[in-house]
Amino acid sequence: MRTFIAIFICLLLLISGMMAQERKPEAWDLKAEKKYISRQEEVKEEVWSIKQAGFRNRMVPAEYAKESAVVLARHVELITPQKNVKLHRTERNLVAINDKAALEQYSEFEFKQYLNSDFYYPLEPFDKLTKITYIGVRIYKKDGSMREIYGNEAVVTDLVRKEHKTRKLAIPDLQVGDLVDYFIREEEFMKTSNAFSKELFVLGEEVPVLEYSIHIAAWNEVFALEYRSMNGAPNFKERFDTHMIHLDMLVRNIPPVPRNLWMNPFRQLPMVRAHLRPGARNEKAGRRKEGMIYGNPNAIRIRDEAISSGGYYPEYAMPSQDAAKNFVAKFKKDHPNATKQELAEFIYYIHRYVLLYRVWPGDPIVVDRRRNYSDPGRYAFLLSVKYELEKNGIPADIALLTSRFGPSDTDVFTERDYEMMVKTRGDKPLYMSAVGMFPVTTYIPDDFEGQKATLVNNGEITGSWEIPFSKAEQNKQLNRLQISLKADNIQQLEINRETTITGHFKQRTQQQLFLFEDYYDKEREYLGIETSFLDEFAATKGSRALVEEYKNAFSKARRDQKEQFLLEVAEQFEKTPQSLDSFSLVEMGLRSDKPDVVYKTRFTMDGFVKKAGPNYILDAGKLIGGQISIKPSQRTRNVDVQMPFARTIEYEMELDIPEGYVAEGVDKLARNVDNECGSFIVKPGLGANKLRLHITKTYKLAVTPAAKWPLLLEMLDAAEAFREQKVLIRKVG
Amino acid sequence: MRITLISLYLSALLCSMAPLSVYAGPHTPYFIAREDENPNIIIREKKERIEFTRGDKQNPVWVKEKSSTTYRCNEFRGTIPVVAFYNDYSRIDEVKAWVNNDRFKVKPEHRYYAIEDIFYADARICGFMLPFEKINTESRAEIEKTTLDPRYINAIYFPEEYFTASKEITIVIPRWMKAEIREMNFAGSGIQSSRSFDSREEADVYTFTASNLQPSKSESDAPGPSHIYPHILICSHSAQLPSGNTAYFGSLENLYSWYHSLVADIGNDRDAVKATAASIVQGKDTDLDKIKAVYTWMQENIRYIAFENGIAGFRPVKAQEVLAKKYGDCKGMANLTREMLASLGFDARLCWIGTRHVAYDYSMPSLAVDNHMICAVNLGGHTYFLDATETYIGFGQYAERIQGRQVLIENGAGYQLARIPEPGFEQNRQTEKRILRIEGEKLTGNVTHRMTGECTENVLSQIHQIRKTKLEEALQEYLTNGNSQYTISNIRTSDLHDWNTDLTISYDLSHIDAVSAFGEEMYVEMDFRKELSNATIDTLKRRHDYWLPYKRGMVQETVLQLPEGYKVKSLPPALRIDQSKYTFSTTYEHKNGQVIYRKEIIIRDTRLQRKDFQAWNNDIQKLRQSYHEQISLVKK
Repeated sequence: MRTFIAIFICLLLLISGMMAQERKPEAWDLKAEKKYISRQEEVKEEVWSIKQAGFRNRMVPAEYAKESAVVLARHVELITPQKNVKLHRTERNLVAINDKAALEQYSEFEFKQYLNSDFYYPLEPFDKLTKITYIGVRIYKKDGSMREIYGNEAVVTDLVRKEHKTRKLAIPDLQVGDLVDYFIREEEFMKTSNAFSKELFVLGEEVPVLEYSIHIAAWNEVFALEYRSMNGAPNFKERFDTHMIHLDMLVRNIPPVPRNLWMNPFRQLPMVRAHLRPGARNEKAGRRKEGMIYGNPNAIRIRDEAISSGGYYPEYAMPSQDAAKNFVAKFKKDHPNATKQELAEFIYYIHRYVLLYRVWPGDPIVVDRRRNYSDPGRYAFLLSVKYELEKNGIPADIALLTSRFGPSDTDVFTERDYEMMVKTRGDKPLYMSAVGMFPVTTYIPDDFEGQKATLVNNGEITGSWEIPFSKAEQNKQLNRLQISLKADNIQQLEINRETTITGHFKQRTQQQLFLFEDYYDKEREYLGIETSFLDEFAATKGSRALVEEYKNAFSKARRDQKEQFLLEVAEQFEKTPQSLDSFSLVEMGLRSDKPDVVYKTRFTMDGFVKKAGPNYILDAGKLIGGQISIKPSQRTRNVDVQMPFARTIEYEMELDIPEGYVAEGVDKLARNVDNECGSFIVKPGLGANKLRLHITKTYKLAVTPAAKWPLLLEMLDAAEAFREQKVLIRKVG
Repeated sequence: MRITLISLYLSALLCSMAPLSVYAGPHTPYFIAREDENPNIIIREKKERIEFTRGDKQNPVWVKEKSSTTYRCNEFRGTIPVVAFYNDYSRIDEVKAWVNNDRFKVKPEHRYYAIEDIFYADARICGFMLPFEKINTESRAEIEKTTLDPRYINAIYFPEEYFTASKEITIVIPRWMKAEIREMNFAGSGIQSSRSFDSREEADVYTFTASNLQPSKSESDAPGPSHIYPHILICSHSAQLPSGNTAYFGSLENLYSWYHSLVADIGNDRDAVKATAASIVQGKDTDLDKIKAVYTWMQENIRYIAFENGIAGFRPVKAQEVLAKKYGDCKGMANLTREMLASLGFDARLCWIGTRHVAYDYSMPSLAVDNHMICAVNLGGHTYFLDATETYIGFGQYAERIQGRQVLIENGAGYQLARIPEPGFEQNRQTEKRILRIEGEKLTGNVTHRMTGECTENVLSQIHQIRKTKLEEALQEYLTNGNSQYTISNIRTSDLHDWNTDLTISYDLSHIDAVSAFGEEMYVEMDFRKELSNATIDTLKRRHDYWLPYKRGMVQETVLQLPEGYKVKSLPPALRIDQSKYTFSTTYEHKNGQVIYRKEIIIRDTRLQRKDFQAWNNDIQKLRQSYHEQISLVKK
């Protein structure tokens, strides 16, 4: 919270422009308000007269009586009323309020009455840079009465002269059992930045929608319309008249769709994407002909547009490319016998180093965890890498693909749907991605798995690439635990843990636990860069003072690191340790030949050993930490299970049984649930005063068909039930 | 009621990016700070001058505040936010800054300041980012502010957002201004004070100096700042001006008189609320039932929305408006409650009150004393206090935050002082009774919960935030602690819309694998919930007292029917901890083929002081240890 507020204040101060102290409304504001109210009158007359039947409905069907809220009618309209001058977007909803949670949701509206699109100029309502929002609300009471409230009656909660005026409206006399009918109208002048309007209509949400209508209309001399219906959503009805082109859709009785565990909404919920965009005289790549409607455009064409509009040429490369180039030249000179593979890896890592690791005297001093979340940005970074690879005789392609959690390659709608990587050619290709500071050249991001990529080189398609899903054993958390009961308090466990993290698990761990100071040095060592930025700073009078400052900042970051390790243990065991006695990073997993992250922790835990007379009960099952619990409403599902990736969590535990005690009930711990979707296997063993447990929990598939959900449930239930399992540590004699 | 600038100031302290620990430059002293604080930035010196001056015709007395803060960078350069708050009664006159002795051009930003849980407030924030050139350099900020009415100058706090090596507060009170200065929480702070007379200005000058002040620290469940930080409370009594004498708050009479003037001309239309009031009490025979009905209707039908807007922060909205809009802040809700009851002929009154967040009572005539408004109704020689902002508390029950607090009750031109009753833990009861038997390695049976007072309020307020389609699942998750092996079915509840009777929940239980069988023995853990087991206070990090949310008396009883052919081998020892503020006890009893486990947790006093922490932690450890005991049964 403390950090959040600090960041909020910083952003607040940095982002906004200067303004005078606002005491009373200024002249410009008062003048605009009159115009706003006048226009509001016109808007409300227009919106309340929408003739859609659903807005006359006052009855909630019996089947939805138990729903928190029911949307009786919704209408969304996007139109260009005056040729290419203005754009109006209207959304109107009639909602039945059935409980206090819904009452809370619909009792307040916050909106930006004026929003300036160009902070270089002061906000001037009704000018060509300002988007204006109107709000109107009608409340229908059970007794048939109705009352209204409008945006001009809302209180002003923020006003930044260069940015926006924000208001908040409290809805009066709204009670459970009422209907609330509200509209939000946004009006703005068309300009280059907003002429391309994007809409996403999702036909399935937490509450039922009885009637959902959409109308998009654009001036045919200027605009084109296009849409993509996905996942079973209907198509628009297309209509052409003298001046306008229209899209219309009316969908009835959309049942509630609870947001379920492991869902992938973009591929599982019916939805429609639509664009209202400036047309061109002639149709060509990246352009649509004015007056035309493009329904469900050919995905191949979108892909080709992505290739041609993206260019993927080196002129888009990142500005720091020269520095990387020099390092590459030095590498080649120092390593004349380096293989192409070694050179390729160097090129990737040095580009990342130049962009994210290098420190300049003018940089803000950020060496704590915030640095671990740096990202190179895919486009310029990967183009630079590819350019340098090719220049050094290493053939490589850009792999264009969509994220597994975005549209499929058959449902792409715009070139921006595409993600990218670099893939070298040859028997042992390298994969170069732009996801954070730490990926190695054998890593493919989890959301690219299972996707089909198009390989592109200098604007030409060179092939395709089916990216397989990684296997569960490639994404592993392995915990080796040496456990002993504390000599002076047998109910406390002393745990020595070595954790090995692989595959897709790595990045989160690296971001949570790593220190810039450590991985900066390691990266330099790998890259053969002898001089650190501290050495460089020390050599220059102007930056010499920074050396001490960076050392202080390193020291502070190191002090804070313990808290992160403590948190990691607490998350793992769902219990804060009594003490964290030591922690260390053994391997950082920054290169393909040593890809695993390994760290060690030593800590004391309480609450896992219960006393019963002279004996003790070990909560053996709880040593695997928290397990996901499937709620009753989640136990049946008709949509496929879409997890981030297949994975294995493995424990090798060895517990010293104290002298004078024996362990009983160990055999009862054995579990062997193993099916095609997952497994939970516990292999217990006893010997030489040691209790051994080898436990593996495996999610075998990233995508499990809905029909096989019971198999996954079997594994999940077994793991959760195991948490109740105990071992008796019996006093002998 | 209005939030004061003090709370804004203290929230600004949350913005601290770096308090202090050790600075050891040449020729400079050591500043010692706590281990858990950031040593990078400190305030080497802060000088704050507060001076009463002549104002204008509308506001004849102004208070000028001028602060000069010198920050020092000890470890590494960066920037920090410097902020000042103001509102409709105050303005920021000037903001200046220097970086390493060079003037730094400042463009302060002025924004509305959003306060959590407040729908709208007139609070504004003015701020800028102050850089540090490099390590061991200083940056300075000067801010001048004018408060247009001395009524709104109350508390001046000593702690800053950073460790402060030296701080001086000077208060200049001309002889024409009568004001009282009270030193609050000075004990042990090392703050020095002196008073002198400035003959040229004909003013008394009060000077307070402090050194090595630890930064303020925001902690959950801590007392309000007026309880914990050293500060000066200024009470402006009156001003003798050429135009005559202007009275401020020289006495409680003055304070009440001002409050009363604000509520006297609200513009209530009692007739407009009478019909609603009459319909609410229709069918209610006794006066008490009628009052109860009005109060319950208010809780159920009027939404609490907090407004803090200029003088409106002290003046309630008209009752008929609140009724029409079905929402209001505490003043609006208190006012509507009063008007509805008065329209029915009851003696209902408005009350000003400071919640437990505020350290003061009405012995200080100051706006800092109260932050809330409720309604009182007199019936048959008894006064009932009605706080409709507490949505789910029963009639005649009082939330911890107002219990025992002094309350200023309107009484025409005069006033009355009273205290809110302070019921003991008995008001907030929470019992759970489980009748169980062993089936294989399962525990099965039925469970009944009964709750009263704030225990009910706590559960109901959570329940009503949940969409009703998800209620059953949420209730199940709450009752099972999210443990799917603790399976419950056939849930029955009392009316979740009636908080004037005990809340009851009962269900059938099947706790899978709750029994561990080894050979001829069985082991059973009798406590499922293990309340307070994570309640240890981190004494290394915790700076302030810890206030528990409310007093309560919790009883859990599990009756376990022994299975046929088994006898008790061992029972855990009983636990009994009796402290003045709390009691923890667990007992195991074997009789009539049953083992009866009974746990009682009583919180009599919610205010755990730092001196209590050690004992509390020891006792929690003992309670936790008792949770780690199991009964064992053996075949006969």
